[in-house]
Amino acid sequence: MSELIRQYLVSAIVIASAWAPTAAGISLIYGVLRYPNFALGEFMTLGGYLTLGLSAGFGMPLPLAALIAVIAAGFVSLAVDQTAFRAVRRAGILPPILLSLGLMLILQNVVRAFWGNGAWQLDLPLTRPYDWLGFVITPYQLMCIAVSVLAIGASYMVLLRTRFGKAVRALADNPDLALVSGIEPEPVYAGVAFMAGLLSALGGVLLGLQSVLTPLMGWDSLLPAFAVAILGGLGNLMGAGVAALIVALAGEYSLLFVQSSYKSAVAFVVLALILIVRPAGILGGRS
Amino acid sequence: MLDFLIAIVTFTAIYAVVSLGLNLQWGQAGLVNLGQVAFFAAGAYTAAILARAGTPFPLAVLAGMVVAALLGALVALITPRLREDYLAIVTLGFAELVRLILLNEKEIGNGPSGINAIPQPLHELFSANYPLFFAFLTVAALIVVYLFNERLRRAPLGRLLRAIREDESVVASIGKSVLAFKVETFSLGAAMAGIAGAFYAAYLTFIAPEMFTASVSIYVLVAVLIAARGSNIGTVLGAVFVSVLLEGTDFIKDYIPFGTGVQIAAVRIIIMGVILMLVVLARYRKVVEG
Repeated sequence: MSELIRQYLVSAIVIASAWAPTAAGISLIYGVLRYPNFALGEFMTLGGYLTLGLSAGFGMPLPLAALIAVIAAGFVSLAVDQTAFRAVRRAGILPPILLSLGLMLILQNVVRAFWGNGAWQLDLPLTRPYDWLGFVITPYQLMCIAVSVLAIGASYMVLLRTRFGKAVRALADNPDLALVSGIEPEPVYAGVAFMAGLLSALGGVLLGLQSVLTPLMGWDSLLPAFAVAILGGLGNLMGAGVAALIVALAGEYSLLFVQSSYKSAVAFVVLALILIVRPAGILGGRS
Repeated sequence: MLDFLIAIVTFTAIYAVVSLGLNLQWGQAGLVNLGQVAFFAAGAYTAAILARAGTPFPLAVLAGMVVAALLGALVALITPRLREDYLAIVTLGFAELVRLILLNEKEIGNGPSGINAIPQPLHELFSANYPLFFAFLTVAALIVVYLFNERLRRAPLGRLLRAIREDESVVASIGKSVLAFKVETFSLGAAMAGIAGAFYAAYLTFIAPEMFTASVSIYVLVAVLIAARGSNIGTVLGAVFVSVLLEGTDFIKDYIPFGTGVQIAAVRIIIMGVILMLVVLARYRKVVEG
């Protein structure tokens, strides 16, 4: 039993490493552009499959393929933001939600049209898992955790230290005040859209490293990622990192009581409870 | 070709009933619901299980309607004070929860394999022209639901719902219970999806959780959105458009030499996504300029 509990802890940290960047993307868009973007799950799928296409199709080494894939996904997100979402910036919260649903259908099925419904695996050399005090973890899982922590940390530093980051925080915190202080919002919005696409796609690559790629991988991660983003507080990247662990632990340890296919249901219950009981998020953040 | 037309008419009528339900909730009362498929599924499963146990079709439809309505009331009761965006997230997630329950709780509907051999009403009587009879039956249901909605739209309740959509504090200030109207409307809209689900199950004679994904909620959303928000006749036309695009393009695959079934299905959904985005842009861009 204690071995099981240990293994759940490892699994939770590993899956959290994939959810955290995606949730950070959701959190950024929700915090700055102020709408829940349901298409960001599909950017995970896109990131995973682009990595597959570049590495398996064009023979690129996996790290390079992943890098190009996440940057490409960032540009896709930027392009859609500029052509579609920008047109409804001041039309309220519903139009961008509806746009994101349309985008969700498009991205998921573009992937399906190219790669079909079946599962694909990134081509990884076989490795021997480490066994450390009974915690069994593979080198790829360790790598996922490291990349995720680095990505969240780097994004956090960007928000903390750069001029762009300062503008992002100002717009998230108080848009009216930010605008009268002379912040030009459109370039900031564009940057946020790029970052969100990139981070979500990175989450997809990490998920692909841990398991398999399917056209539904993004959809299946969407509710957990939203739970994480909202629990962490919108616009709060470190919060997203911590919340990813909490939601993942809740999901893993729920396995003691329910079947594994309920994992994303557990995330939804967490999410619904937060929204209904404490809409401002638990780890701080604005309402 | 005639069989094909009959099938399209049946699908259209079923989609139209689900869409009218959403139009009542969202178009009339302004309650965002991205999980209409959950109530559709509830109606389908309830009616299918009862029909297999020998319940007559009208009673099975009624039960499907009631279960969907109760589920709708439950969602409305736990989310009365949620902002539009949170309601969007919760309804989307709720529908996924329902799908996961259908997938995992094998004693409800055999999990992923679903329920088959669902009895059809009066099948012996119309054996030769059964699809035609069922199309008539479904269209009749659509007409009843449509007339009910039109009646409601013109009634004081309809005006009140539109007032809630525009500004609920005004409605509250004249002493009306906004919560009661929200629960009532959400539940009525869910009931309509339940009726449609019961017909869907009987029509296909087979249902499985994979038929009740979030995509269905989005298609219904497109049907309502294409219509001027709140218009019932527009919603029916929107449903015609959606079902012709989804089911009516099925025959195209016989004429296209390239592409697998999966690819053609994917392209169809991509087109749906593009249309959704274009409709949203066409509708709301004006709001900004005007």
